Amino acid sequence: MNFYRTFKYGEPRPVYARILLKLKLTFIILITVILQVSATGYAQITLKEKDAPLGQIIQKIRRQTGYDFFYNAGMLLKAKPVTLNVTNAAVEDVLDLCFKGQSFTYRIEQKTIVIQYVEPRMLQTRAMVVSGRVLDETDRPIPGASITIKNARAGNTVSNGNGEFKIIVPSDKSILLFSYVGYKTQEIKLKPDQGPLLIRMEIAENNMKDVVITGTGITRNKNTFTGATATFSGEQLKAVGNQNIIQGLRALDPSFIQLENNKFGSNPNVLPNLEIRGKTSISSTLQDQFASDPNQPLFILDGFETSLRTIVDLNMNRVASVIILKDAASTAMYGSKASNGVVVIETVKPRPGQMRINYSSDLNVEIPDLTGYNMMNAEEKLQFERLSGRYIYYLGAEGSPNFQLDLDSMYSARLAEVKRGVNTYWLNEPVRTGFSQRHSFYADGGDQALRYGVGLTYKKTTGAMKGSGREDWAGNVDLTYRKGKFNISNQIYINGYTGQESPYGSFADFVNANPYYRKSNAKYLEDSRDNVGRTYRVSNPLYNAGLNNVNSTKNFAIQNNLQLNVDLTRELMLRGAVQVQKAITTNLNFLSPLHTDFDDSSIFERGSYKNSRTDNFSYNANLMLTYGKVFAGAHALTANLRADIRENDNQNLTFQAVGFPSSSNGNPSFAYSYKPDSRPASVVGKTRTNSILASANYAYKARYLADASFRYDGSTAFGSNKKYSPYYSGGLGWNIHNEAFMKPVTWINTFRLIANIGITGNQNFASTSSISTYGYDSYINIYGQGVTLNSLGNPNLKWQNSVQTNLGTDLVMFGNKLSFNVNAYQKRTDPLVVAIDLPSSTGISSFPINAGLLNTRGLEATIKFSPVYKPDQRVVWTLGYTGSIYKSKYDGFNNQLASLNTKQLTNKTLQRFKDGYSPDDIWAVPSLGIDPTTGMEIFLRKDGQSTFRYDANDIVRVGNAQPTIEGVFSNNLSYKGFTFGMSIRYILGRDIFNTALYEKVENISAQGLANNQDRRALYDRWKQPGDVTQFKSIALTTKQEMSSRFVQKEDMLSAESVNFGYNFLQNKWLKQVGLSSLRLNAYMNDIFRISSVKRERGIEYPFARSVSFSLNATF
Amino acid sequence: MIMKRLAKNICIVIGLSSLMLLGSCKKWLDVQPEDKFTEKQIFATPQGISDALNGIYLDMGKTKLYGATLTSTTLDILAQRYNVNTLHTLTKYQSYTYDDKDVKGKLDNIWTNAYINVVNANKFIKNLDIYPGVLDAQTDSLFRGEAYALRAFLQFDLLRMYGPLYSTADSLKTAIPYYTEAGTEVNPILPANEVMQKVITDLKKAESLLLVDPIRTKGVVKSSDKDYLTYRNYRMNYFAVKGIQARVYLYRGDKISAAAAAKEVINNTEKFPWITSGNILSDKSNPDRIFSTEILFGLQSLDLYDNYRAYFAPDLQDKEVLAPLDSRLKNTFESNENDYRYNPNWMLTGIGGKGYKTFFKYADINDKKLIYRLTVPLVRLSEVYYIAAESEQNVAYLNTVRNNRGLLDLPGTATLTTELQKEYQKEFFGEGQLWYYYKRRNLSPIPNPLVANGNITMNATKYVFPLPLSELTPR
Repeated sequence: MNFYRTFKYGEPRPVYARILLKLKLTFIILITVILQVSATGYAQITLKEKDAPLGQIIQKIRRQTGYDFFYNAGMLLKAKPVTLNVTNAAVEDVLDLCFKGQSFTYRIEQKTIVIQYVEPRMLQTRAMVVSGRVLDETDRPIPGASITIKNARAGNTVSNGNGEFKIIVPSDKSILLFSYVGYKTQEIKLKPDQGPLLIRMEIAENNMKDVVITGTGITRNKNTFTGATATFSGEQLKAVGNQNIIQGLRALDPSFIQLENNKFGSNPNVLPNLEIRGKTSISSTLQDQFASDPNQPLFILDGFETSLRTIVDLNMNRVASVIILKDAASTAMYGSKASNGVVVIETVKPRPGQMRINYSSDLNVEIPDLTGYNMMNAEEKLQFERLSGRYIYYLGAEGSPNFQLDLDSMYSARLAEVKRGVNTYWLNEPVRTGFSQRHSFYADGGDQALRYGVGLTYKKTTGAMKGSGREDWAGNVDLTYRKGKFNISNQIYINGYTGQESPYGSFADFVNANPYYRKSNAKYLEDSRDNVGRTYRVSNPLYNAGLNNVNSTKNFAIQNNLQLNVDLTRELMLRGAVQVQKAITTNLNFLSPLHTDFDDSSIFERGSYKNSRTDNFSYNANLMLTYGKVFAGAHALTANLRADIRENDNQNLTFQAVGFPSSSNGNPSFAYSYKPDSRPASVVGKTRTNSILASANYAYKARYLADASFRYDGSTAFGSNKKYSPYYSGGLGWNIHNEAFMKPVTWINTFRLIANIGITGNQNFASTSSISTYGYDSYINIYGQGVTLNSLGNPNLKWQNSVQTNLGTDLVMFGNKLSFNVNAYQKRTDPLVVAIDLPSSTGISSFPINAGLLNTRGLEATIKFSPVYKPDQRVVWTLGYTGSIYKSKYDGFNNQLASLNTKQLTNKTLQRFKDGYSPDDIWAVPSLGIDPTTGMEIFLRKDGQSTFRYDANDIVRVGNAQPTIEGVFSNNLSYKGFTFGMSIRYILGRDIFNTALYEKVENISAQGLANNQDRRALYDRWKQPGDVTQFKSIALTTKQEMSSRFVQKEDMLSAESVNFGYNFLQNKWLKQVGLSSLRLNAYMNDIFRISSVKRERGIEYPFARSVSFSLNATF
Repeated sequence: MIMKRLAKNICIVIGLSSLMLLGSCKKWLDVQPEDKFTEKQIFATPQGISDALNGIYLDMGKTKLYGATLTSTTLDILAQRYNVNTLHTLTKYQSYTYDDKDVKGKLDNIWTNAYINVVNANKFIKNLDIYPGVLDAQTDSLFRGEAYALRAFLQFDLLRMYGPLYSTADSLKTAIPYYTEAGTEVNPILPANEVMQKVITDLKKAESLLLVDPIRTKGVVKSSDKDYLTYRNYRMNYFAVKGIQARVYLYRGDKISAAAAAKEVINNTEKFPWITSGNILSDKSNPDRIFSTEILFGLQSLDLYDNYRAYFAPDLQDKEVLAPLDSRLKNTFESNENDYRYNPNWMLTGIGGKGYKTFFKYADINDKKLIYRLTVPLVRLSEVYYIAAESEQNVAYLNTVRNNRGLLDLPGTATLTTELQKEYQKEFFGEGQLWYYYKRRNLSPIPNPLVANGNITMNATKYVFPLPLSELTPR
């Protein structure tokens, strides 16, 4: 289908006859010397010579064999000396050795050896002129089609307005390549007497190699576009991993970063946090319920905005290509949503031909990775408790001496259990090896006019924690109809999922369970007194897991995309598209009345049921006019004018019921009542946006390039006084490799410089931040109900805009063997929108204000080198390297946010807002370590003195969580049908506040002793005077403030992906069993991880390693 | 050929014009939120404006403010009304442990919520200017007057809680900020005397605006064509403002003004008739224990009976119930069973084996339609008489109240100050006023509720609430 089309011409060449090849006939004038020698029988030669002149050797051969030599005497003067050592060798062999590397050769005619110059190669070929015409699929001429000679850098041309061309080829054995955007490249082998060619171009299917698809319907030729983009094919992504495209993107592109979610680990129901080129927003409190992460890139699926959820659930086999738009020149087309970058996904389009059926199956095994945990065993834990004073009665408290006796007997009872061998490894209880599978079918076919594609997918994921999992299903029907100037296509996509959270709850509960308890199903593991005589109970984490609790989310969504293209003229095209989408998501959360949470609740309120349903409806429509023309064979212009509208309605309704019978299955009809004093919660959000976009790309002889775009964006989110906002960008580029002076530099294939600048926005804020709103309260008096202020808006709020600049280069050398792609960028978000808390007497909290700016500067590079590069033989070995460096800095706050910093202090967060500092900085009091005499921590005061006393005023910057450099090393080998790939991520120089050290090695309160702790708490803490340790005295259960002692520098290597594949492409047996292709792949993801810091990963849900297999067959 | 060209051009024109149309609807972007209302919507109709004002009364009536915290629970515990069990959740108030986490939170909560209502009142006044012409002149004046009075009332109570002990010397000490505008402008923390001046100014403004209040001629009416004209004593009416003025002037030490304001109410006593024993006793299932007819200003609190059940009901456990030691209660009422305030409001039920009387003032009544159901009294006639008595040192005012409580005139030997204190102790159970009385008088020894006789020593640290962190941190 011809959805994307730009206008391009090939290499412009003057038509004047420049004779490229001069045929020089070299006539050898032979001044012959005839040496007559009588022949004497032997044809065997024995010679031993070192650096002997050729003439001398010839004489010896003549003597030994009796052959006559016939040559020009002057010739031998130019001959190179010869070294050889032969015994009884045949004359041809000896002559071969002699003439190796010489500028002449020999010929044996009867008993005479004729020596002659090597004939120049040119003599074998002949330059010729080929002419012809290029037509499109409807037999209309294609002007500007590019005609190139394969493996030659010169002599390329383009077709003229009538599609005609004339090209001089170096020989009649040359191969011509015909290409035009949106069409398949054709290879034509010339014949010795080649007549005029008639080339009928075929429309390319999913050929996005040379096209930058921006998702707006606007496409740009990759060779003349000035934006920084990266394009990956579905195949490339699938080569990294078979679970979702995020996995592939982060391994392939340096700017696409997935932030580690240490809390939720590998939970299949939790969405990843993603960033492209750093953050643009620091405030998340201003979002409304339906907004997404303010730093998340925008996702466009087949031309329409979509959610991260849809992208993560998307069947990878449907993906044709993914394009990441990074800078202003490429994203300004998205105006107010563009600041975080845009990811454009195109799905596979139906191809014509007989029906093809593609089946693929993916199997995935997830193995929980608990190596980050370093918990004590039963004996260690008991010893630790004893050393911490758990079994010594606290002297200050009142009580009878019996208390000490109780504690002693408790200790002996536990010790007895430990001696009996009780050592429960609770961490293993909630986890399992998860098996997941996906099956997908896709059938397509049709003729040039009507084509169809039908797909079905089912995926079942079982997570690494027991009971957690997902089921996804999807179906799609794509139809396209093309007739003359019209091209209509329609896509229906229906999908749904069910996500289950583990009934085992938080993984942390199991990490905390003491190993000296026996595994049981009892409600409590223990009911006892602590060392001040207070009673406490230890709940059994397994108990709650065994109840019939439910936490599941169900979703159903349907969407329809309709698109119409009309070619008004060859230069002008009209395109319109409409999308309608509807989705329903229901979350059910039932807690059994037997759950320990309800121990203190009244009988009427035991057990709870919560039902939250979100309805979403949206429509999108756009209309675009595209104009493209090549003027005077040199000026190529593509311009687009586009308008779009969008409405998105969200509605959420939530209610809660309580009081269930103990045998309840969670059906709300068994509830005693609604939750007391609750009312149904309803949130309604409606957003509308519209925009006009003008965009143009110009190239002069494919050398000098320029881009410009302007978007005028209207949105309900901009506030009552300011509904529209402009965004624009401009870029320049230079294709140095197309310059005349670069012609002799044949080892450079592509050398392009680009530079651009533009303004984009970030609109992920609550739509009503700028106006004051009122709400009714469920309260009443004799005068009826009343409204009160819900929020005080800031009508002067300016929206966050980012000025982005990008400088980049593409360099391809040595016939595609070595390529560099380097981009340097700056993203300056000014002003920021920050939610501040005013003194409570103003009655305002989280008030959005404009304050300061955030400046991010970075560099990203992708380098690829192929030591072996023989694509025609299907043997390629490529080494790849990607790297990304960036630093963000605040500025312009002028201490405006001092109050926010004080709040961060009281909230014990590690971040501050200060000019010159980064959002990733870690703030704490510098520590000088543990005093060997007392076991207490020594802090460094601001005045340089050391002290035992912690003072929040001494807090300084102690680290930065942003890595110095992060990226991926890759190694890809393909040999015939076999492929092997490996991606290793490296992260260097980032600082981490190690919470395991802070919470499980130190800061173990008297109550915290009831939980299991990190081994280092026993072994690495100070015990007696003289101990030089990293951690404070084991006997101190007092609270320890955050200091630099817990901040560690991390360097990390992890195997993001290792994969093997085999493609049975040319095996004969395939045809016999009716297959046209078969591919097998095996993957290992996150299989190992080496880090300089030992810390707990996956607090609520563990991380997992995965091993996967996939099979892809086409019938 | 020409036709073909024309068709082509038409196509282009249609394409271009539809592009323009799509992008140019400004009105289309005018989306009003559905789950909330914009200011513009609310202030477009008289009903909306009325609801915006009523929202403040409703919010003030919740547990967090006058529903319980500033009346029956926190403030009365601070005034040492109850024998609070050491296991009770509110025990930390009895010991004035202001740096306890929960106490800190509660005091912060009072502060923040009171000021939120101030913001609502300020925004209301401002919006009446921004969206004029919706209300008739009388209603406009009435509503404005109420809003001015509300913000003065709230900030005066904040001054009494968080402000210093108010004597001439102390009045220069910093107290609280005073807000007359809603917005992001942070007002300075003013000295107490300046806050006082602003309270007085606002009350004067309210008084002048409320001259149109029909209560001045008709008294409290049960029905009217407009909702807000009924039961004016549940809103900031003219006499409520007068009563509050009397309270404010006395707190300031301006006895002349206090007496003047008080007397204007006293001269209209017939509009707030004294409770009769019949009112209290005739209908056993619906006793008027709050003496509703005497209320100058009160609020309805939907939480009232929930709070009663949570804090005062006789079936609560000993460690949960708020009640004085029986002997202390007896002493407070001087063992006089004739006192209306003693007999029906304190009863020995024997439920749960309790050997002491529990508080019944806020127990539910049967008839759900009676106006005095759910009522929390905030300004009542008796207080105005006490103010007059104190300002003019005239025991006659005190005797009037006593006579209407089933008590005889005081003997000539009685000391007015002592008797006034006794009256405050008897009269304002569950209304929070005793705390302010102690603080105003800066009484150092106040009765200890844990023993029958004996005192607790008070000081400035106990009387002055610390300013909450949510106020100080962002400053």
